[in-house]
Amino acid sequence: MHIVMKTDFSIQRINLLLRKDWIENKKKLAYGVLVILGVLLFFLLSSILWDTRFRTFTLYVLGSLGTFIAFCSYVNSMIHRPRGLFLTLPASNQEKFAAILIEGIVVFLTYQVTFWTGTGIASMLIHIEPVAFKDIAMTLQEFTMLAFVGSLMFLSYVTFKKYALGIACGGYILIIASIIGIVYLCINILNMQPGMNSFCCESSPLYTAMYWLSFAFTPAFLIATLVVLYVAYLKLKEKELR
Amino acid sequence: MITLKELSFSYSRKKEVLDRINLEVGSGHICGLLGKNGEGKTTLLNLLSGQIFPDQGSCLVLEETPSERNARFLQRIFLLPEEISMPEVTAIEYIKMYAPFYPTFRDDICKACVESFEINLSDRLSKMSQGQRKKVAITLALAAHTPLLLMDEPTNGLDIPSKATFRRLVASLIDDNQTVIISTHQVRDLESLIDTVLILDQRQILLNKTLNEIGEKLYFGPLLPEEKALYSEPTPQGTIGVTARDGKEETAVSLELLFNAAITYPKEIQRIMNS
Repeated sequence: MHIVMKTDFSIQRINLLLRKDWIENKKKLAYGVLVILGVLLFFLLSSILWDTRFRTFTLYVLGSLGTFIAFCSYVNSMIHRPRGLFLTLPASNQEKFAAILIEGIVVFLTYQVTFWTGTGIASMLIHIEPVAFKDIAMTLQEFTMLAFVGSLMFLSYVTFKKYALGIACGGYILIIASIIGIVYLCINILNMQPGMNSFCCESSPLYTAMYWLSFAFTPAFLIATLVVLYVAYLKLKEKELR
Repeated sequence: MITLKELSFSYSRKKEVLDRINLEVGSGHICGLLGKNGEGKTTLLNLLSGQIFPDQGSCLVLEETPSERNARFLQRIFLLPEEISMPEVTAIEYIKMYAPFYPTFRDDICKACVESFEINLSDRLSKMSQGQRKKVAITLALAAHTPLLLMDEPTNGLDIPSKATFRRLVASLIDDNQTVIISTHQVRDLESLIDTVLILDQRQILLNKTLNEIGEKLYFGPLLPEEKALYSEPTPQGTIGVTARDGKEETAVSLELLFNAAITYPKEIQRIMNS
């Protein structure tokens, strides 16, 4: 199957990229599933003695984080590998980036299926209550915020060859510190004090801005996530073997 | 095919690798890219394939800007790196993974290379020696049959019979529409294979001439004891070296003598070649 196309975005070439990565990494994915099942089994057995729901929930969150970091590391090794063929592979930067995002969704779904199937089967065998879907179901607000946090980590792994996790964590600390700083400044600017006339505070432009921003929380994080992903794409486009 | 104008590249401010180089390579040539270790051979190949971007100047390859790395451009070049990290798959899986990306991929060439190199396609790459893995990589590179093929030290890791097989395959399977640039510091591996010599030295393209042009201007062979040469070395049969031809009979170009002469007397070689 040979493809000659003048466009820089072809579904068939994305298919080829996915096929190549599947042949190359299917064993790693299978090992990943086995590791998740092994960890699940270990913790579910040990959790009989403790609060089952809490531990399973914690496990779900840690597993999600671990899977995401493992995926980011895989992307990092693929992009930054000095002796690889990734950059010269005949596909455009858009196609390569799209293939990476699709692979991320596949890894996410694989984790979900493995986790839910694993906990479901284990709970039937050892009679424990697995984590309920409602425990981890997120509001749209939480989801967009989490997507933004994840996209920053993804950007770090695409951009930096080394210490990507540390740089991402440093970035989070910087963002949190900035938010705290802004809130602190806002409080000082508004000069809010106990017993202060609330009308005075609520009529200020800053308060009005914050009030409307709270409504735009979800689209703001969604747009921020898309911007970060676009920056990650640009970083891939500018990637050099230096 | 390849046009570089005033191209400069450095890895850092202190480490300039290429300094305002100009280069023209037409189609249908097999070029030997020669240079000492660290002279920038790999850097030049990476620039041509869009893996690194020039700091200054312009670079046009197949009428495209390599740094854009668009799919149409990447389909028409193949870069064989000196060392390749290979996945844990069999040789046939490896070739099938990459072959569909290249519209020009030729099954008959693939088969010819597999037979000549005696590759067992069902063997896993992780179980192969470095030389065997190199043979698989060379097979893919030749079978891709792209208009531009860049090979970085392709004979490194190959045993002596395999080096001869490599030369034979390149000579017989590359057609007139293809251009091949082979970088090496083992000049003997390119004897009887290349038609153009590119020498990189002191961050510059010191020489870019065909073997015919070199043969017309320079003499390679035995020298009289009192004869002044650009480069000479003693052998059991007497002294051999390089001189300006100056009416002497035309001789076959010795790449090793040429290279040594070029890096010892670069200005003199350039003067003779441009006269």
